[in-house]
Amino acid sequence: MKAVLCINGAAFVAGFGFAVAGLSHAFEPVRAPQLGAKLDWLAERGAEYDTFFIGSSRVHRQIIPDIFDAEMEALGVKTNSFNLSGDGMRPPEDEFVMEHAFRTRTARTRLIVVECNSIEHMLDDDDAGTARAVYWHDNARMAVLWRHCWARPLSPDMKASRVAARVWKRVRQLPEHVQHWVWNCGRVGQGSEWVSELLVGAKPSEDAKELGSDGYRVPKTGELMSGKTLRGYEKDLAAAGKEPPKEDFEDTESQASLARKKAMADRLGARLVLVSSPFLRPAVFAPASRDGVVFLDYSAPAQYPELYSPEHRRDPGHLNVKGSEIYTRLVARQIAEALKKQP
Amino acid sequence: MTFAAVEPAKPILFVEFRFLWIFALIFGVNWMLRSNTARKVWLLVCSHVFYGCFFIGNPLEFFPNLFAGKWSELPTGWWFPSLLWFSTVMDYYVGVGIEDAKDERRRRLWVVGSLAVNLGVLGFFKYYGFFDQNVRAVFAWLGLTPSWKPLEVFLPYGISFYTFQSLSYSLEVYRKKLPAERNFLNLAFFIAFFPQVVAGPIVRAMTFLPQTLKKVEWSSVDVRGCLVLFLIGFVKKACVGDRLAEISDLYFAAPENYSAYSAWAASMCYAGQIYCDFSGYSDMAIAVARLLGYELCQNFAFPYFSASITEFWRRWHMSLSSWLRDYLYISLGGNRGSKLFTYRNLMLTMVLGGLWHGASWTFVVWGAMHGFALIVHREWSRITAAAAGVAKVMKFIAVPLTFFWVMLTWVPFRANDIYIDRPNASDNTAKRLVRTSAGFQDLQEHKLVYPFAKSVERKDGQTESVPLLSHDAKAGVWTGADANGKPATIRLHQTGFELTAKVWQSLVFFEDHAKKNVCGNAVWVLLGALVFVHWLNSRSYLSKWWRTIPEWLFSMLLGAGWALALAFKVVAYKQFIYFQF
Repeated sequence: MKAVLCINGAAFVAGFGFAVAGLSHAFEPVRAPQLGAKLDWLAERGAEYDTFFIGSSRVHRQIIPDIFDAEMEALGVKTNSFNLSGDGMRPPEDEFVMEHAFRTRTARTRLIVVECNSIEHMLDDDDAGTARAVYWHDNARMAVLWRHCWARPLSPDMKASRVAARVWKRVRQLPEHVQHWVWNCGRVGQGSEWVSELLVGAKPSEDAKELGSDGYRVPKTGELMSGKTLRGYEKDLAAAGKEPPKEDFEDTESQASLARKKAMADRLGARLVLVSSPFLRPAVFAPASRDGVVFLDYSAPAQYPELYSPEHRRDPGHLNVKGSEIYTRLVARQIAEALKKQP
Repeated sequence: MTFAAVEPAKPILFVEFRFLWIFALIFGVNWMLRSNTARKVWLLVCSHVFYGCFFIGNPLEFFPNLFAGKWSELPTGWWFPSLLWFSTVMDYYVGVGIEDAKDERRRRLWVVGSLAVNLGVLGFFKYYGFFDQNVRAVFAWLGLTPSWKPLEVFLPYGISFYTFQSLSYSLEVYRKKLPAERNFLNLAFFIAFFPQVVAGPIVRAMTFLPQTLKKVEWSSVDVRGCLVLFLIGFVKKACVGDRLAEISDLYFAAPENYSAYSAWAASMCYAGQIYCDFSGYSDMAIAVARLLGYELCQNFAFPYFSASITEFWRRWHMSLSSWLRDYLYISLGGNRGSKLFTYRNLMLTMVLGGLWHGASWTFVVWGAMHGFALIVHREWSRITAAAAGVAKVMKFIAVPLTFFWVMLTWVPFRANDIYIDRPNASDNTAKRLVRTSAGFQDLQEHKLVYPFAKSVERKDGQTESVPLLSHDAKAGVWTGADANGKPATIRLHQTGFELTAKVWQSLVFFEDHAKKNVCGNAVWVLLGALVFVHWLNSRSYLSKWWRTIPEWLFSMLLGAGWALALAFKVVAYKQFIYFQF
């Protein structure tokens, strides 16, 4: 009975695998709705830009390339920047995006500004099972996730029980990643898209319509916090105190991810800038090695009160447009200063 | 007045990957348990959890909010699963009451009570809005303004299905065709069994309850058949139905923008979509039930190859049509009377069958068209019974003619009242919307863009639901704000009947409303291929060969089949059409 089950199981996997191999040759890879449009744009006109911002919504909605370029020009550095971020994009997804955007790039690249985040296993509920989550699940990213499950923590005082809990939290997410990886290999939905194109013709991408030439999008949701959210934020802000959050190096694999990004920037002759976004948290993920890297940390409310002022935030985790303008100028000034110090 | 502050939770669909994990757990534990009772208890618990999750969403978010008394943060309709228990408990006592009743009058009282309560609950949730809307329309016609405020009533998933299912039990006990089930577990399991609780098939107590008595052996499960049936159901729903929906959705959102060619293409696509959607669901439900050792009834038998409307109703949604025949048509007197009496019964049965699908006049029209066609077919059969020549001619045109009529009837079935926002916009950017129980939904993106209400926080820290839109019945306009506070004005653009008339004009008189086509000619190739495969299957050409191949080869082909199905499925699932009924 068990032998029969094993043989049938193996045959199922083999049949699935052969078909997937064929499908991956027949169809284009799965395309992410937001980032796909940006990557397509860069494939055509990437040479026009020399500075790139990569990260989650805290970069996507908060760093405004037009303002950044104007500020840099005023400080004597001419840049033409592009916001290559996406909502919810964290490592290892950002590595995938960087690899695809810069794989064949030969044009001059001045700066690559990356949000400094550790590897994230949890997928957003709304994204799970959609092209948004599927597209970056390639072999390299699966290997990163796998290694991350067992990566050595770099906090010296971590108890064994906490380490075990972390491992379990990561391992239990693996089946979902395997699903997305299988779907990506099998080009999920791509055959259906091909049929759709035959039936109703090619559809203009909804995202391409919204996408400006700099990749920035104005947030659609409200501008200010109110009620309980505001009160909760003010309480947390008061509790954060004057001390900046403690630096946390997380684990070897998250640091390795930063190292790979550095190597990518080096290959392009660009300077890697790691930015820790402004929002409240007890500890901040930081690079263990800062050789040749600019690290800008905005995690301390006492140091950057204007970024934490409720009138500049649309929710506890994000700045509103006014706050984003202040933040972009601040980032530009600090990068310009850093470049002057270490040209 | 109550408002939908938090959107109702989303149901778990058989086509979702997470269902695979859930089912793997249910399946594994079910077959590990040795005793039949333990298996039934396990499946009953799973069924209620599965059904409950349709309403409560993520239990990890729901229960902390429930225990903390944060009522306004609970999904709308979170308490609806209790209706399933209510129905079960009531019918248990009704069954026992009928059997124990000493005289016919008491027996009748019990069954009338069951009918009144079951249909009363169904009627309130399903028809309150429809009733209120029509009474208001009458008041407005009389120049009066009703003083009461309307309630926003939501339709619980599956209520139409499990109400009919539990009613079949009380009616069978009343008719003495079935003994009352004195084991509560068996009855509760029959009503709540998760593969069919939300969208059928409507299983009869007579066929299901006997299955609960005997222990099922794994060796008697046709695993190969179940796996193939599930894959076929998945392909029908996720690959074919959802893909065809793209064309019908585009067209039915604005038929005035398209040609007669588009009307034909979109109507045929809708016919294909609704068949694939519903029969796909039924196939998956039957396969899942069989894998757990239980047999559900067949729901479809190639209905579009029917040579008459009578035959169509023997092959389409068979569990509902046989229910209506046995418990409604026959109860009304069936054909045991004059011709007119029979026709009245046919028409009543079909109109009520139409209303069962949804609370709207368009469903009444749909039912009436089928009733009318059944009457015409009955007369036609009588008149032409002796004419052999007619039969020869009809042999060739009966199937296309029946299909054409069915396709015409799908138009009112599909037609929604269409609203637009920014009605005075001159730049043609107004969104086309349909009204749902929670607000107005964008027809293109299928997203709720104008909810009826929003949850806001009061000064005392409590949250309350405030209306965002108010309805001016006289002007036929909804005004207020969207979820982000932007002013909104929403006006009825065209009623379902106006839309139906436009589509029929194109279908019957080939009238172009515009020159634009909703799709290219490739759609006919696709539809032709689907009809061909369907025909092959109806002749059983596809249903045998895979049973004779070695197991390893079958497994390999099944794996390849799943890979193809995933590549050709539509990534963003659409909800099953029949979930709304």
